[in-house]
Amino acid sequence: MLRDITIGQYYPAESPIHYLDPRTKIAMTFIFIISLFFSTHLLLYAVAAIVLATVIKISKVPFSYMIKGLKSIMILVLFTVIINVFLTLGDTVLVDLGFATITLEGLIAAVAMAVRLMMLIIGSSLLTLTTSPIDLTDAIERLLKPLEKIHVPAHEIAMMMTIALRFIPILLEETDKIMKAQMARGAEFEKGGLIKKAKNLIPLLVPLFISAFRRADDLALAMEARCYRGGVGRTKMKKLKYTKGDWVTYVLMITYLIGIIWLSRLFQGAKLMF
Amino acid sequence: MFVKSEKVVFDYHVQNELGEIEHTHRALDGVELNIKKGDFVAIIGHNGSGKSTFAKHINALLLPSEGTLYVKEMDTKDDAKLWDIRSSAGMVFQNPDNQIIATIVEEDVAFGPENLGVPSEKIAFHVEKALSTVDMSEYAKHSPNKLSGGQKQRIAIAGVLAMHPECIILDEPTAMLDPSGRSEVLDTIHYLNKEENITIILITHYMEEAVDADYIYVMKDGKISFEGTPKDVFVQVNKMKNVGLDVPQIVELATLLRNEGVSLSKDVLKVNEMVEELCQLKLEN
Repeated sequence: MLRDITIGQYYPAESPIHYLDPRTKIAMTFIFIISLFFSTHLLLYAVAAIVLATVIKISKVPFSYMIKGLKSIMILVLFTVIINVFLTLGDTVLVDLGFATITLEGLIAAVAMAVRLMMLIIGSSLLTLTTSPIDLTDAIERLLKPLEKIHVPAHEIAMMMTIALRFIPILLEETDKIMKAQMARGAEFEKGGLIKKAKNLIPLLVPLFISAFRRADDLALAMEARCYRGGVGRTKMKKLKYTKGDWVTYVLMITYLIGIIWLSRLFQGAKLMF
Repeated sequence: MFVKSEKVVFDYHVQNELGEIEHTHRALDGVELNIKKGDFVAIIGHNGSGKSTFAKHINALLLPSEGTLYVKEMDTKDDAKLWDIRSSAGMVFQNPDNQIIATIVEEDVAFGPENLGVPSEKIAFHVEKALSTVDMSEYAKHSPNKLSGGQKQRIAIAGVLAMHPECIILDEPTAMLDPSGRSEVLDTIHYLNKEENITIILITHYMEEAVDADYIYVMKDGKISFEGTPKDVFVQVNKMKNVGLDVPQIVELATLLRNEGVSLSKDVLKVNEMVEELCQLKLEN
């Protein structure tokens, strides 16, 4: 049951997007997210959607994978839609329920918000789908490197991410095992109200924590035995390198961002805007 | 001498909740031993005999409270030599899961050389070579999570090999493995000892694994209780029982047969030797 959870789902495929430098992809994702916040007109959403669809097409990741990612945030989207529908003030009243009104402006705002959220999630899941976790941590380490001057522990953050990624499946498996062991001893995990359920988790969490600390101890020893002494003087087997494709992508993405900003100015005050 | 231990003493301090020392437990009590380069040495002993504690001393993970331990003529207490010691005497631990750091096999093998600051181009070469030595090349791009225990342990060995050690200390490397995993790991370390001339120090409580060693140290209560070649050690069945260890099943069988009047030589340690002796007896009769 717990094994179904995967973090940073990577979809291995041979596509130009997969081959891009992970740093480029992180930048790409950020540019896309920024562009969504500049979009103030339905037409701009259409442009963003076309760009996103093209990238998905190039990436060779099946669209059903993106939808899977959306499922988990559907409640959030729904919540946003409801809030927007009922709480946006406007002049064109469509339905008057007495205690609340539904306005045209509210409907448009709700749809826009939902679309924005969904594109946001799809855009960022595209990053994790096309980039292996290792590449991602490498890129984060490299991108944070300049911040080491102001004491941001770039190497340590990357090392923590690597170890977390390595141990998440192991700890999930262990949780499963402890759960079964405690159930065999008569523990109940499903019954009772919220407080009862939370209390029931104690026999699961205590052994899990103890074992996690023991593992951490072992791992620290193993790392030390293999001459680990922090990030100073460390080399990397695989160095990140920008290729021509990366520069082309950067140019395209910046053009896109400038285009979106320019269009948003153009449409200022136009209808269907919010 | 690759490893030279002079009266090594190690005290564990057991602390109470306030951080005060409640009592002291002497885990090692004057260990004296010498290990030559290229040897295959087994250290056997009961739980709590101090064998793992001693193993951690060779890698300078623990430092002697008294006495001195030399690895390649370097004192393990010498801070400046710490990384030299650790890269020339690598260590493999018991739990295969808790010593693999990266999520991809080759990245994990590269961890050691990366820490040593080896240039990028050379690391890939070392990693490839280490993986082919332990016969795991085809798994280079795999995630360690899906591998069997024996395979994970071989990855851990490759991770040490990539640092070009002269000696590998294995602290009960097969304790958590199934029989097939055990033989995989043992085959690998015997290969390394014979073909790559790497000194092997195998800490174990499986007597069958110690039979193939060049030399055996038997530990009890933090001391070397007795030592010798496998033949010398395992014939002393009573002495072994005294330190809480069993002799290999074949030795036990040979002793029982001898007590019943079957004239077996004292050298029988392995199944094939037993078969040979028995066939010889049959021919003679």
